[in-house]
Amino acid sequence: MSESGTPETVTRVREALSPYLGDEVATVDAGRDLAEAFGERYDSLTAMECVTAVEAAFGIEVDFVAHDVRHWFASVERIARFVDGELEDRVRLGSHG
Amino acid sequence: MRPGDDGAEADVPFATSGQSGAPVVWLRSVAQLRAEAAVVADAVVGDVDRVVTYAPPLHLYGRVFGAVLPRHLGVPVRQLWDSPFTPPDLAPGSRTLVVCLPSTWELLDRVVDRLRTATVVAVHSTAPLPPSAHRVIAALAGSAFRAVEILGSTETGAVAHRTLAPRPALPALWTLFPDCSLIRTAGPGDEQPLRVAGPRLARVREAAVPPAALTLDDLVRPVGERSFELLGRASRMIKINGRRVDLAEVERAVREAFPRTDIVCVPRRDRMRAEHYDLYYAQGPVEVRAAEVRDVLAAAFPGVPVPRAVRRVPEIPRSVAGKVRVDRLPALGESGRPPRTAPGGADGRAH
Repeated sequence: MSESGTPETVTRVREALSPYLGDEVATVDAGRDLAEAFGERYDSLTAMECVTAVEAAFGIEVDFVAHDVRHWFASVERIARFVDGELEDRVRLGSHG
Repeated sequence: MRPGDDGAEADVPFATSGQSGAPVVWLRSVAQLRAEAAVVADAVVGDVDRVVTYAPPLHLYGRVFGAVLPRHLGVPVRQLWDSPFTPPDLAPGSRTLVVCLPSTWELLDRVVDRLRTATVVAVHSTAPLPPSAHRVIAALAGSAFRAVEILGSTETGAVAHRTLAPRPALPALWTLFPDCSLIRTAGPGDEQPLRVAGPRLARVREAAVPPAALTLDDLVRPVGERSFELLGRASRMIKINGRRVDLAEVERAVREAFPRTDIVCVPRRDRMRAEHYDLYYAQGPVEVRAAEVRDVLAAAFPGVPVPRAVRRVPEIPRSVAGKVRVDRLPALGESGRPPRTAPGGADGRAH
């Protein structure tokens, strides 16, 4: 898995988040903490919206028990890494299934 | 005073967040807070071993259910209001009260199997139920799960409650809490504003005592002595994240900034926040960009949520009487983009 998510995934994550965080998410540093970058705009509800938006965009499911959602959804970079990991797992499981 | 610290007997302030001007501060005595905890404990909560709260203690709802009530019941409380992704830890056989916000139901929906193994009472207040709440309630039909909706306000405290059933044929009636009374202002069977009296009304900072009665922004139809049907809001006020947003005020601010621009705000159901609004405008003689509209609102009403979507349309459709034809406005998805499918209305209840 890429340390920061593939560039394509980073771009798609930005696109998925833009309806909730605005155009600024297209240019925010991928490693920057979203709560720090967006302040009150990245409140708990928005974060939840971003989770569902990423799920819909990539066809994945975030497990709120098994995944450390707070950790993975802290920055664009981490979200992209998380997504790539989930997609890789799916391919791996699919190829052995 | 710090949240959760009710040790001192000084009155506790709670602010209602208006759009313009300073917030109104309502003072509530510690005795009133304790009385509210006792009333809701008896009427809706029953016996629980612990409380898990997702409601911040800054607001009355979170304060009562997440701090005063656990103390009244003598049970531990887990504060998860700053950790909305953390599911409630439910030991099998335990009895837990879960204090919900609209977004909490999305979380519960994802861990619904866990909720079958324990006795859970979920309380919801301050906003209409999101679709995920109805999914959870339907999925747990027949289990020990129970969901209760509380109607109230910062000014009045908890006024009425109702138990939420899966797929009810009709919306359940609201039952007044025992120490509240509904003041009749209309004839039998007629709708009226929800005007309440009782010992838990707050007082404004400038007043020495609470008012004898308060009128809320809800329209009701009384049914019998202690119940009523909730019909909707009396004004164009909506609540987003606990903030009151008067859509008429929003429209006025945009019109002032962009004269001769026709504009309308439309209240919308929202998956996470339960309520939100979209803003439509028809281009006037000067070009206006959606970002400019957002900037105007952010400056006019700091901290107040801007529209979920700002959309320019060729014209605002109106009836011959000048009333906006909302049904003729283009539908927008929750992200503010046109939805892939027509909006379904998975949750059509008034509250």
